[in-house]
Amino acid sequence: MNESQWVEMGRSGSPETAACALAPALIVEDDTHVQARLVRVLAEIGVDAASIHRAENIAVAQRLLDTYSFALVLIDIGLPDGSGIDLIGWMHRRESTLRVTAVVVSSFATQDLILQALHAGATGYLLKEREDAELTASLRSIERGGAPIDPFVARYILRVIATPLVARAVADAILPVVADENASVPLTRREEEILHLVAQGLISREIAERLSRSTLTIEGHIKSIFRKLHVSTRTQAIYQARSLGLLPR
Amino acid sequence: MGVRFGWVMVWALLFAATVASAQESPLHAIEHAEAVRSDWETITPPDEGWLAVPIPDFSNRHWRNFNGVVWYRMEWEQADPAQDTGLVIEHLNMAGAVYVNGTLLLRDASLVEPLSRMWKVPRYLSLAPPLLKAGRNTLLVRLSALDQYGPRVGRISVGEAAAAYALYERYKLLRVDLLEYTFAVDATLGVFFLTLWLMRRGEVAFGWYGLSTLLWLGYQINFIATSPWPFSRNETWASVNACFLTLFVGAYAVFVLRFCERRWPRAESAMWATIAIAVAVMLSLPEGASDPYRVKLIIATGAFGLTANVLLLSLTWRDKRLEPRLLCVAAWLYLVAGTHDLLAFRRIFFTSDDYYTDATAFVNTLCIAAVLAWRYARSLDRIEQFNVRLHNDVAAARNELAENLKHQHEIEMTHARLGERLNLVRDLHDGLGGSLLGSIAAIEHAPEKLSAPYLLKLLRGLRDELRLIVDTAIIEPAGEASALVEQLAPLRHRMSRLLEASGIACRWDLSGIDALVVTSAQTLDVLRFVQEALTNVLKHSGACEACIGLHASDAGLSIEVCDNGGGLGDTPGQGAGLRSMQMRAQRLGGRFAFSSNPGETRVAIVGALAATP
Repeated sequence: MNESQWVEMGRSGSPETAACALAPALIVEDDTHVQARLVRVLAEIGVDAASIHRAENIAVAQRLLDTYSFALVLIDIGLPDGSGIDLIGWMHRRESTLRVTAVVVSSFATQDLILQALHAGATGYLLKEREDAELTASLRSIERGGAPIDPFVARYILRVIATPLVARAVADAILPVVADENASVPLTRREEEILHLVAQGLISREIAERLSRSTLTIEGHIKSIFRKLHVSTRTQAIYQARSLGLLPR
Repeated sequence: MGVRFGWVMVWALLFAATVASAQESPLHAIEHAEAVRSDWETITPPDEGWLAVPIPDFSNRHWRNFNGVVWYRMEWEQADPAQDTGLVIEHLNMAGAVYVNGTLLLRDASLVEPLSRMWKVPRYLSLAPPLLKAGRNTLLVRLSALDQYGPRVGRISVGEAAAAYALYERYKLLRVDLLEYTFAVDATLGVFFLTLWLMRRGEVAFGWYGLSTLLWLGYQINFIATSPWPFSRNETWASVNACFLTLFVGAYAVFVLRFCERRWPRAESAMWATIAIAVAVMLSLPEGASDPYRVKLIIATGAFGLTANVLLLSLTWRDKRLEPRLLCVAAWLYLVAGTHDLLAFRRIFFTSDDYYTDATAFVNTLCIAAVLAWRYARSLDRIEQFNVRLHNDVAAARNELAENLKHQHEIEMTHARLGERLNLVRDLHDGLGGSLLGSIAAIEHAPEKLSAPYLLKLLRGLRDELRLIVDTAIIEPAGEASALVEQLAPLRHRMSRLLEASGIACRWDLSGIDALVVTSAQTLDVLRFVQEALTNVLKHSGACEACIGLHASDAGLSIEVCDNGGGLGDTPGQGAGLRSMQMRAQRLGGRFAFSSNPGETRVAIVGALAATP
């Protein structure tokens, strides 16, 4: 999918909500307890334990990603040999792993990193300290083609789009190479409305009821918002690469 | 230096005044005449009584105290009558008529009182045949003479027209034009400085200078006016004129004092009193009797004017600044010219009626104007410098203020950070610490109950507590208080998803809390209450519906959590949870309400935070 298609999608009323397979899955996590927990959660929503692979660091993960074709990768951010965000970036630079659903597994304390991961192209994120039931719900949402979101992420995105100056200040503080105002992909009014409701603490079902849409549609919108975050970063990266002469103009 | 410069100026002027008497060769100066007197009405000169007189001539030398007509008869040889010939008469004091070979060529407007005042004006006549004859030609001048004002026939020259006209122009420049220019310039400066003083009353020297200049004009008009209008007699004119001169000298003396930043109140009062008396006497004298007094007044005034200049010189003698020195030049000129004029007025040593004060007044005016302009410019400079200084001071004050504000801001920031840390520590201590102690106490109290689910419950409770503290700390990192509705959002979102994952439909009903701002401690109590109530719903109720209501009004905040579960049975640990919620209700200043029936369980706080605006 190219950028113009993303923009096109942003204009259209309802987002693409293609279902998303969860297997085969790769868990990139160095803590074995968390590994076990994630396997359990995945198993709970019906992922065959045999199709779940584990990697305890980035190197192993890259080798596995080269060898096998995964539908889903759960990536811890703090890995022994680097940041999970770099792994997401690596995946998005490779044709073979470009379309793999990357989900960040993080703790709330690293919320800045979650935002960076979304910019880097993560489809969603899971918070370690949440109940299993919540993790399950989030993964189900991803499976349906949606994306889970928390009020703090909604607030962040609203701030970024609210005013370009604030956006840049916030973005600079959080992520050095975030979209500038020219490169950002505008949100639709509906998407903005959804973000406002999320920021107030409403969950997808409540938003769906309020906007007379299906929960799936709402989650699809959120997924598309995440993609725009990523695309705006990518546009920026392409712009920079061109200005540096790394890409043909 | 000022003295030497003054003398140079004086010599230059004397030279300029005497150069006019140097005759040019193409002109013949008539130096001899015959004169005879008659009364005002006579139209032709009498036959008897002719005297041989020199030209120029004061008629009152021959006829003392005579007011009337004096006839002058002169002759000159004209070689070629066809030559362009001009006749120049320096002046006729006071007025007169001119005949050549018996033909009237020139006549002033009024030859009897009110007599025309043509005493300064040079005359030029263009002569040609048939009026002009070859050989001997006769010039007859009828002079209207007033004894008191120096009745006189000035120098007379005849000859080549161009040369005669050039001479006439030179006379005119010195005797008329220069005086008129001076008059105009003086008038302008006087009005200017007087206006300046009106705008800035502090500049008294300007005011006195303006006034003295205008009074001087009242005297100087004597040299310009050609009739005694608005008076019917030249005697009245001269009296008023003398009064102006007297007043001028008074004002000038005060100007000198003010210029030297002096105030001599007693001397000044005495001077003005004297001047007032002198002027009153002058104006009250009857016609025909005022002239002797007027002469004395002018001499006294002139002497006093010279004194004022001596005063100026002595007061500024040691002053090294430029303005007093310039003024000294003016004073020297004045002194010299004034002395000359006084002497000439009494025909002592000088016998011309060219008065130098009127000619030097021009230079004088320029000097004084330059001084005052200099002073004015300097005060402007001072104002500008003051502005610059003011500007710098303001800038410095502003910088200082900015520094202070910055410093203050830093202190405030430090305090705020410290306050936040204290808040966080307090929240951790009260919340997480309390829960920890509670858990430890519970385990110590009944170690036999320590099963895995029980332990899990305790740990989850601790985690939830930590969760709340982290949430509230992150939403509003700065400041004491924050909007409750924002703080509620993470909890609402999380609990909604949990309830939903457990198959419990939840409904949130918020009203009136959009603008509610509460402290972080209060926020935590509200959130803990909601969290504990909903945790109970999740764990124990077996409900499929839950509703959460937060309503704020003037009566305070009410919080209500209800579900349609089986109610509280004998589940162990329920009592502790309720006690905890009751405690929070108390801390929020509200009433705790609890009811539990199968199908409807309700916990609520009513009227919390009532005192909070």
